[in-house]
Amino acid sequence: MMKRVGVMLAALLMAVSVAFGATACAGRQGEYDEEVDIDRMQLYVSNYDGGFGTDWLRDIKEAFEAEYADTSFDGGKTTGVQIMIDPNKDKGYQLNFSTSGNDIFFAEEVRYYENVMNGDFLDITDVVQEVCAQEGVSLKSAQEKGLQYNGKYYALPHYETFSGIVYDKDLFNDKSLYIAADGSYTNASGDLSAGPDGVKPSYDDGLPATMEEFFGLCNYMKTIAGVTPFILSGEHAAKYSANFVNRVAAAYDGKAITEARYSFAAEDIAYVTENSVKEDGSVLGYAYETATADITNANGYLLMRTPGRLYGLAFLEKLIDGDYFDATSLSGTTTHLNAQENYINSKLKNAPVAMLMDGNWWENEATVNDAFTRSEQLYLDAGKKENRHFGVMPIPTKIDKNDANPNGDSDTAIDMYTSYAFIRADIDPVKVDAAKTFLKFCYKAENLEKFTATTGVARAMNYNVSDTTLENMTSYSQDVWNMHLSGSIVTQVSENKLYYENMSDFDSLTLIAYGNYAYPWTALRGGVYTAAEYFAGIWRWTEAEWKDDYDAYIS
Amino acid sequence: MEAIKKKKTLATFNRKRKIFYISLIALPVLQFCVFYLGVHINSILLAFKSYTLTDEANGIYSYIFAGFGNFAEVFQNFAKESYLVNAIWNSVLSFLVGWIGFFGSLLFSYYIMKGWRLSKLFQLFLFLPSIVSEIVVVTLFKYFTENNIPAFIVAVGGGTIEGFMFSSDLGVRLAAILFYTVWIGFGTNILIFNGTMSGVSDSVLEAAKLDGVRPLREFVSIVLPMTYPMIVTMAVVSVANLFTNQMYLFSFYGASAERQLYTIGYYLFLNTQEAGNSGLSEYPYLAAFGIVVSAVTIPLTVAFRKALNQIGKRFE
Repeated sequence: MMKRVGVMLAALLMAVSVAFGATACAGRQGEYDEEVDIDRMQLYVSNYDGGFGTDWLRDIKEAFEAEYADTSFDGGKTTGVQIMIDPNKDKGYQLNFSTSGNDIFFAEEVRYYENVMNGDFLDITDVVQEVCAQEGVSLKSAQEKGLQYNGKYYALPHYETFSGIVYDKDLFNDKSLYIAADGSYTNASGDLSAGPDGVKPSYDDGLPATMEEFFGLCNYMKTIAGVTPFILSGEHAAKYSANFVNRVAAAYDGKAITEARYSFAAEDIAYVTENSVKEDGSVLGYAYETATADITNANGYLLMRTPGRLYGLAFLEKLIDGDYFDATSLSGTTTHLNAQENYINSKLKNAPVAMLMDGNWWENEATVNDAFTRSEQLYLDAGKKENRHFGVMPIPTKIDKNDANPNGDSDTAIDMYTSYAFIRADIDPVKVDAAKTFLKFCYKAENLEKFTATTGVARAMNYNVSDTTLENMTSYSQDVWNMHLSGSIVTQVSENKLYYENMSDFDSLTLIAYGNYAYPWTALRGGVYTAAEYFAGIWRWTEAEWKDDYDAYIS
Repeated sequence: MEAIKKKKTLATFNRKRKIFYISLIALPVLQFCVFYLGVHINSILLAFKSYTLTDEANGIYSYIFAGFGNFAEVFQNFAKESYLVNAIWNSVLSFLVGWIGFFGSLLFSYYIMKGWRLSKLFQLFLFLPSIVSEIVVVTLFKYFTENNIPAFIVAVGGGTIEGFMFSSDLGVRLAAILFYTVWIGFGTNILIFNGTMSGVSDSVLEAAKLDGVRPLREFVSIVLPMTYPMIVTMAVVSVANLFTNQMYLFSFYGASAERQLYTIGYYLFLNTQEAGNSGLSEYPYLAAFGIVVSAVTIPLTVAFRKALNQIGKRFE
């Protein structure tokens, strides 16, 4: 009997060792650019290689390795640090720390609170404090408390993203698409209207200040100027347009309401009352009544009913009904990269498109995918990136001149992709010091500025960019930086348990789904619902349902 | 003299043979225990747990017993979310339409087996999508339905039409996907049926031919009964896949398919994928959802298999 057990145990051991060997053969996961240098310590760095690419990280790697070439972080066993970069497409929520061999991560769509609660991230409070001790560098006010969990920080904000409208400044000038002070159309040197901010001169002069002006301009482009107003990737039309609706909603509702979507704390918030939305002949197409309430955990569901959400849906509905999109790009085989390239080349091939519906990453994404290089090959100097001037179109935050929207002067946007830099919790203890040093290096004031110069976007925190750097950036990147400086980009952070323990429930894309439709694009385009009907559908919670779901958070 | 045949057991093996035998089966048994039994038992247990804050001072969350709470949530969601009910219908629709492909592929297999006109060409065209990578076939189909067909209609003087896969009419999208499901299903089924039919004895077919049996009779009375066990296996597998079938939605739309097109299989896959590795709180609900659909599928599969076996007895 003992013999038999012994034989079986031996066989089992053999099987385990074979299985272990088979899995061990897989080794460190990730594709790195270079061979390991055994004389140095390796830090494995994962970078989401999407719209912002990896070039910015390669620049930092070189500088860091040079600066710490003679430093040992492991008591003299090795000297210097080798940064092993793993460019990949793993979203933050898909990262598997038990199989990933990386130590440091720069990722997007990170569900920060879920990871922190799971114990996935290393406490980097000291790093955050040291980064923020630099002159001119700080977290945004909402992040200071919102990123803390039990009084500790576990990540630093990475890039800041927002969806919206890109416009071709050169085309607007060439085709006289700017709005003149008298309401006619003119070029950039004409007598321009004051734009959405009502201030003249400022960056938005001549751009539509109201929904009425915006759609008047679209009509003018289409019928008189011979310009197609919009281009949108057919493959991603549903998702991109849903992001756009959220962006327009945020702009119309303003910063206080948009922040309340995460904090559940705001005073005197207007919401649309039940059964009050009626179709009419107004610019919006709908009339409605509002009431006001102070938002708390007990009535967060009212945030689903804000006028901005109806405004955003009506905006999209008008774009669809007005047939303002380039029809060929709406084919399901047109990717976002195709749409970007078609947009870049449209003016040069005399089939001009004025605006692109995309995110603030688009220009860098088009650059890293060589769209500008190909454009230059085709159209020589005219196609060169430095000869093109694009801009961020502010979202009109008033329906018409009579609209008394109290939030109408703030072009608010949501920082969409919850992007963070962090260190894994179970990093080899020998590497902790080096990893923290590297993270601090990435967030040195000068490297924050370099990041913006390379990618054309801001990191989602406060820091400075010199005038010289700014002048060397593209026209579009300058607009993105100005948007960052305006402070109107809302970060998805909160110190309210209701949000951070249920963050998936409050994802902006989840909250725009209604019944059989995940996206308003399909429902509105198919004529299944009007914007008003869809708006009523995305209220999602009644008072009782809200209480049922979140009673534990209602004091 | 009656030779007594001793059944071979582990005890009858000598030591070396024992070691060889155990070494041979240990790995698959271990793999089965860990990756099949372990995973399934864990999934079943997970359905009765919730991911909850257990150590408030240190902010630590862990799984605790939650009774039937997750199952209640599943049924509440079915009552609340119309697209989930719709997903059941889409799963059933895909299953039923799959049967058209199933019968079609039986007929095509027979056609190919007989070596009738163009059968080699049919074989090539029907096998090709099964041999080429799925994502390539999906991309080709997408280009064909989004660009080529609309362009062709314009070229022959028709009006401008939308592509099918991204049509604003979700009914058109569904029809295009179902067409794809049937078409792509042909390849795999034919590959298997053709292999099985080639095992039908030539002498039987020759004898039938001499008796003046016409092709239809030959198909119904000889080929079908002789390939019936394989047909049963394939049919039972298709029933078992009723609620795991994604209808190729992820291949066509990634995570962005419209809800009206969802099948239960796609819903489960999407939610598991989107829960990702950080969404530990989502897994118990998904495990409960899986058990609920299994509770429907298992008796259905068993009953279906029994019914088919009864029919099979008639052939005998």
